[in-house]
Amino acid sequence: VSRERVNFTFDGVPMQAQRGQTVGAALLAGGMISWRVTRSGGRPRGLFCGIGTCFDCLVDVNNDHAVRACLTPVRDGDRLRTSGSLGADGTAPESGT
Amino acid sequence: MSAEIRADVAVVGAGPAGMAAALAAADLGCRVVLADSSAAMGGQIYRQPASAGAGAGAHAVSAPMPRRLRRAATHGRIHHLPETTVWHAGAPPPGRQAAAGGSGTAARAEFVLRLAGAAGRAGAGNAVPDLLRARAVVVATGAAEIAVPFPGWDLPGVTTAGATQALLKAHGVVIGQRVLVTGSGPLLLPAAAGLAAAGVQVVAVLEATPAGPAAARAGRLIPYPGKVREAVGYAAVLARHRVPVLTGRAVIACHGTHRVQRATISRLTRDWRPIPGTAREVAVDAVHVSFGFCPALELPRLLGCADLPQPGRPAATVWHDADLATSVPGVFAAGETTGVGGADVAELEGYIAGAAAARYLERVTPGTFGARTARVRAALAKARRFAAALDELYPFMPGWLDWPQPGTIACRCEEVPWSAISEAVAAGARDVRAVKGVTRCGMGYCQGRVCGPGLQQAVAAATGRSLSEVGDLHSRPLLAPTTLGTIAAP
Repeated sequence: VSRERVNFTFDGVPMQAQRGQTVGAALLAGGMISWRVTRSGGRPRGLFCGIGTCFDCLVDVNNDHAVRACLTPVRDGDRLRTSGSLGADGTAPESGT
Repeated sequence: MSAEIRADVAVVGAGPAGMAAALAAADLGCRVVLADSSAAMGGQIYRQPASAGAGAGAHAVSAPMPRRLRRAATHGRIHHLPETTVWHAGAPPPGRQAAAGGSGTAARAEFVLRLAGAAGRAGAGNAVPDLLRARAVVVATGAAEIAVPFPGWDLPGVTTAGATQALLKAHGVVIGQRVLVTGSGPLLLPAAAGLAAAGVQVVAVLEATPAGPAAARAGRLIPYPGKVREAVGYAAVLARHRVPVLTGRAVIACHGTHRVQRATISRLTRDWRPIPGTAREVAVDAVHVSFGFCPALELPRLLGCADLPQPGRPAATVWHDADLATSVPGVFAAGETTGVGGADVAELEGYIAGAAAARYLERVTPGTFGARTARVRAALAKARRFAAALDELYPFMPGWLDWPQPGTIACRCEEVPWSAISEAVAAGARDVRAVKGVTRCGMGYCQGRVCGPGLQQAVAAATGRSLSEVGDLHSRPLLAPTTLGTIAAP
């Protein structure tokens, strides 16, 4: 297990994580409790089952949409965005910020 | 990536059942592919540290992975596919399946498992083959944690107890600083002990089942001193941190804006109905819920394996014979899919299932198979007796159906209100699939894995039918949300 730190951004805000942490663990360790809202009720969602079953913790990572934060390791330079921020044509905006 | 990989035996799930099955089959000469959604073997129970913060909490109070299982990581005939999801699976047409004990391995038709990266992110390091072809399959897919709906259960900060274990074991990360652990079943104590050892203030552990009936049955655990010592160990950690363990109570509502800030605790009747006048609110920043486990039947159902219904329990288990063979020749099951029994049962079943797969492929004679599995069977019989006795301590009672309010979210994905279920039944829906079709409850991303057990019990209560009569949501053509591009790939 490495003690190295990695840098990433969430909606443009710089954050740090331990190498090997999942996106979900990194966001929680960074003080966040939710990172998206539901599409109909606008309800905040974060991590619920923690093992890949519930899909509550979805987040956009670089150009990949709606990945499970609890299963996805965070990497140096990752640009994370609130999930659901697709462009009108269904593709992600090129810039993460 | 477009590639296929072949194996004699495909083992799906790398918890103790899958690791043991892979070892048993590989030791008998089979080439094994062991596919799992996590980065490292071990499953939920033996989840390995993944980042530098891990070590405190859960690992301080829970058993490490046994050395005998660690051998799976270095075995020459076991190919581990980490971070891999099996999203579809097909059995050979019945005419091409040779009966067990048939005419040589050449006659064994192939199962085809379609794979994708579990994290769903593209790029290097996620090079998962598209196809896995194997002549035998061991299903070791485990179980999903049961959480039932109550007001505020979808507020951020309310998580499963399993989520706290996963975060602590892999990363040493906690969700709240002042928390309640609530629900029913044997996971509550280790989850709370792990959090307390990691420095979290656990306000209380709330076990819904009252002490009276549980204590009356607890004597049946006395023949299993090792297991009793484990529970006493958790209780000692909780006592040292002054965490009260309260029975006959549960969190029945959570409150807050943007995250959980307060929780309502109520005393419960024996069947888990709230006792009027006993509710009190406490300030918390997280609530961790567990109501036991529900076998993950999606893969065996897709392969055509028959069920074995479990009266009084949400969902069924996979039907199997004494050698862990399912109703489909060439498919074997081990671990929680055959009945939730914990790590010891899972591992012992894995050894038998893996050896049975090798025998099916005629890598071992029936005589050698019998000799190899005899000692395992004796240990398994004892471990199953313990699991059954433990299971009886924690009956899953229907009184929680009184906790949700009409506007409580029943389906977290599709945001279906609780009232929609009874409205659908009033409009004529008689089973879970009909209610799903009318309400969209269970139709979202998680495919009913979270709301399914609660929905099943709600529909059973509303229609006056049994759990097996109203059915469940475990049958589906795709095992995981999958992009059209992945499906369209040749």
